[in-house]
Amino acid sequence: MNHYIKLVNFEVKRFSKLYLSLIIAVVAAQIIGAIVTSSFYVSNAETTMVRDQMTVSDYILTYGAYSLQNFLFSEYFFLSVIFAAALLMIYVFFIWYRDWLGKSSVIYRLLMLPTARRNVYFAKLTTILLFVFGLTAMQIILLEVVNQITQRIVPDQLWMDESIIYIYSTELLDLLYPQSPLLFVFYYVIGITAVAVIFTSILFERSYHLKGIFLAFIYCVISVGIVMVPVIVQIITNYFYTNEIYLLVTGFSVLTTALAIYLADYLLKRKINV
Amino acid sequence: MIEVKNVSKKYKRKQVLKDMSFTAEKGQITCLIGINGAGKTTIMKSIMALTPIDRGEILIDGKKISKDAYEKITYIPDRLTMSPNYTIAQSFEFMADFYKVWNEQRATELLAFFQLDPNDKISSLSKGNTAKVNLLLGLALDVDYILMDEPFSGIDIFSREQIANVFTSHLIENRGVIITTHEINDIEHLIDKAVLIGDGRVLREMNVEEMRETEGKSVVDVMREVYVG
Repeated sequence: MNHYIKLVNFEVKRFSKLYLSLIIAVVAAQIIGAIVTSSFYVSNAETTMVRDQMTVSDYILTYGAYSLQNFLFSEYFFLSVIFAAALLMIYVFFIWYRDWLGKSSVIYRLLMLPTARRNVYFAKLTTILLFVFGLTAMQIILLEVVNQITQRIVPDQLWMDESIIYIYSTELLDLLYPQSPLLFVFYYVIGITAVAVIFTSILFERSYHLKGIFLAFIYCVISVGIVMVPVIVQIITNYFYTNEIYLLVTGFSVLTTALAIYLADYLLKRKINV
Repeated sequence: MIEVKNVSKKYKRKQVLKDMSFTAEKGQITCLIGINGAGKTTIMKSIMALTPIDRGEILIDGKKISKDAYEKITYIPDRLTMSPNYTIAQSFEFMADFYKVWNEQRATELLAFFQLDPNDKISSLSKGNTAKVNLLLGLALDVDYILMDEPFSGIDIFSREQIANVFTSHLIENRGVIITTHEINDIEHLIDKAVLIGDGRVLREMNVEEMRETEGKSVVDVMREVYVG
């Protein structure tokens, strides 16, 4: 346990500079985006109202008031979230390959530590999860900051306050922060399973090289197949309620994660090649 | 004692190790000699469970390698095993964090011996100094066995001398060392046992002193017999 925590600390430190840069980039993009979209709206509203001799109420009736939704549907928000997700996705691969292919072969050291090798796997998995949760938590705070900035730019008459529940039901936010506890567990378990399966696939490739790529592909197909069992059964029988399907897929994902961990442990102990 | 018993390993289509057997005793320096591609590095990695073997058995003091064995045996490969963004001091902290057998006093002693600056970033070190850091990280562990892969490869003459001096110092005393090299001249006078490897097999295993006394032959003489014919 002690070694596992130390390994997590080691992995987190290694990505911390890049992670901090990513957070700064996302914060900057969204704050700039909030300023640009709200300023553009206000200037456009003022020009239109003068040109068409409209009152504020007429303008709102015709074009709608400004709310956080305007920002959430802008490319500033969408692209910054996609960029952060893509970078983390790349890091899922990089976190392993950097140990083999980097300037130094850190994998030698990691595999020669006096601790169970599966701790290396768990530490990398935990690191990815910490980064994901860190970013999603940061996004909640950032949305409040954006909200405050926008309210200062947009005059009260043109501003429309929206409930938190309504704001978080926007497409992308609903995916990041599902409001139903079942969906929350479902999304995040699926995410953990995906990372665990990718990690084990990487270990297949690192253990068997070219043959390993083929084995990893077969393994991925089998894993997706296991997770999809309830969906396939539903298509054939139409027997379950939607919530039951979510629950079953979550259960099968946990099984798939357990299989990924078992295989990774086996590969790290018996087959890994450095 | 490290026992390598009938170890075979195939890599892709090539049989890298063919029924290889030899032993390395504690308190002795055993040198694996062979040309590049003979299987020297592969056997080192196999001992450390860094590459799987197809057949045979490797025992360290009568036991198969386990996580606890890494407090008893260490491997110094011909490449750096520490994060390049670390300073030498940070790499010491890492080792102290994970290994109960990390000897800080010995590490500091070695730092002075190799004239290294603990604040230097590992990525900024020359090849010779990188090799010294690598060696330092291995030697500062209070382990019974040390495996060294080509410690003299590609480094300047002064660094080679410094590294060779390690073998006559107390840093090696009472430990079992397996060293691989294809440049035997640097350490011929230091080794106790030579294992000549070729094409994945042990071609000759000999006690260097005994060979010198009974047959009047040096390691290079025997190498000439075995490799040149």
